[in-house]
Amino acid sequence: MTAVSKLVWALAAVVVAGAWAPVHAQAQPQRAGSGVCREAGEAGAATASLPNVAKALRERKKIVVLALGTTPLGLREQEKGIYSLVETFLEGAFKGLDVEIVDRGVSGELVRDASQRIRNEVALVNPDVVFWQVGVADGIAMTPVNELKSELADTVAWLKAHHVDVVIIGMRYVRSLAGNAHYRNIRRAIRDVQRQAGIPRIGHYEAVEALDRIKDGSAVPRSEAALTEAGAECAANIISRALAAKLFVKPAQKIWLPGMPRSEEVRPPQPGPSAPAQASPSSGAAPGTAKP
Amino acid sequence: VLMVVVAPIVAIMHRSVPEWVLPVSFAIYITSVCLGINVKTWPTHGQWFFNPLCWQLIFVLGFTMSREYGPARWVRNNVRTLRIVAVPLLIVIFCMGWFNLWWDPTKLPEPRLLFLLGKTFVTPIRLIQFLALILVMSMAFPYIVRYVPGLVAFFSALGRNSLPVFCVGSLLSLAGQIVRSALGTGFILDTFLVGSGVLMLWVVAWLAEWRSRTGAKA
Repeated sequence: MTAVSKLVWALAAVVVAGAWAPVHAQAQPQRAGSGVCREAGEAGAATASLPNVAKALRERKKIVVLALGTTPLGLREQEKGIYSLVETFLEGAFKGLDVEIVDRGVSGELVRDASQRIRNEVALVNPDVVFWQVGVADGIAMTPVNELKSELADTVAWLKAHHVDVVIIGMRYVRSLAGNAHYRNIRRAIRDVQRQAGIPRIGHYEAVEALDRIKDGSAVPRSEAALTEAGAECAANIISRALAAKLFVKPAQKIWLPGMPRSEEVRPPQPGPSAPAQASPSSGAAPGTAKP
Repeated sequence: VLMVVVAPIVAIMHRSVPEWVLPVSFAIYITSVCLGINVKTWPTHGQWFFNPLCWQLIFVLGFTMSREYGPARWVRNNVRTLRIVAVPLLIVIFCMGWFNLWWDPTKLPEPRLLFLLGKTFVTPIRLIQFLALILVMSMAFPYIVRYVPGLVAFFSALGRNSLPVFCVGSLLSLAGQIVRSALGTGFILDTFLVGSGVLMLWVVAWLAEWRSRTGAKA
């Protein structure tokens, strides 16, 4: 390619990007912080794997997800709740993949009450992986930390023994509880269990906390409700990316999501389920929306 | 609320074909349990925590057992035998729960809901446990009334006014959580919160009955 043609292509790219960016920003202003969301979401998820999900994918090309705990929904368009976004993203991004998400979340459920119910739900749903948002109700209800740790570790061990992967979706960030010592202790206890069990954790708290911290005006949700809303979308992003990364992406590969820095180059998608197309769960974009 | 809406249908059915009320209710229950049918939630994508297709049986059982005929007569005639069965059954179920001796739910045969201990579908084990508890309580109640009549009067007042007691109880529970969050936890504070909460519930029940009494006199 000559220098002139390179320049023409570069100019064209700048014009297209310039025309697209304001429209996109106007349509989805809350995603401006998703770079922060992405980075925070990496917490704890880097080293753990999902062997049973990978096996299900190899053998059946279908993943059954059991979603439990406080339902992390916050989107105004409830019909496109975060699990629907995750499902849409994964099915759109990986050709032939069937993702079934069974939502059995109960608001306000304590870990000790959930333990038996999880066993029953696993028997009924037969999932490959459990998404468990845990600790929110316990944090508010002042459940003793040791009791929570013991119940959580016991349930996670039971799930692993029954060939079910677990993804812990960490506690919610709530401004008014950010300084609460017990809430922090519960959070720490969940992290301890997650590390000891070697399971992935979605850093929902860290992500939303980071969103709350960046006071750059346009992207920061002002109210607690708006923050919850942004946090829900953020969680969808993180869950999708974490799952995709665990299942399909080799160490050198990275998945692009809106808000990611330019420096993070993305490899072109490969055909079949071995590599993801770069799509945003929150946009519900179809495969092929990858950056060139 | 749904049960209140359905109640007239049960009452009408009971007036026209009383012998069909319990069988129809049980058929709905067992179909729901065997096939795992539940009502979907909206706008969230879940299912009802208290499956109305199953929980209706509890209400219908209470309704039909309060009659003097049909299955209620059979229960009354055989209540001694039923109590003899209920006591050891309740002890066994209690011990299984206390010592966590439940079988692995993933190893159960299909349909698994028939053998699981679950609240959502009021699974058969839970239903049997509930009925056994009623039978044992009906046996113990005369002795409780004789020895602690004040306690019985207290709980009966709460039961008679269950709706306002439940509503105020929900608010008090929230208030208690806020207090615990602000002041921390501890034996003295928790005892005070529970004690004052129970006392306030009794005041609610007393007020509700006082209004009824004064209304009746007027």
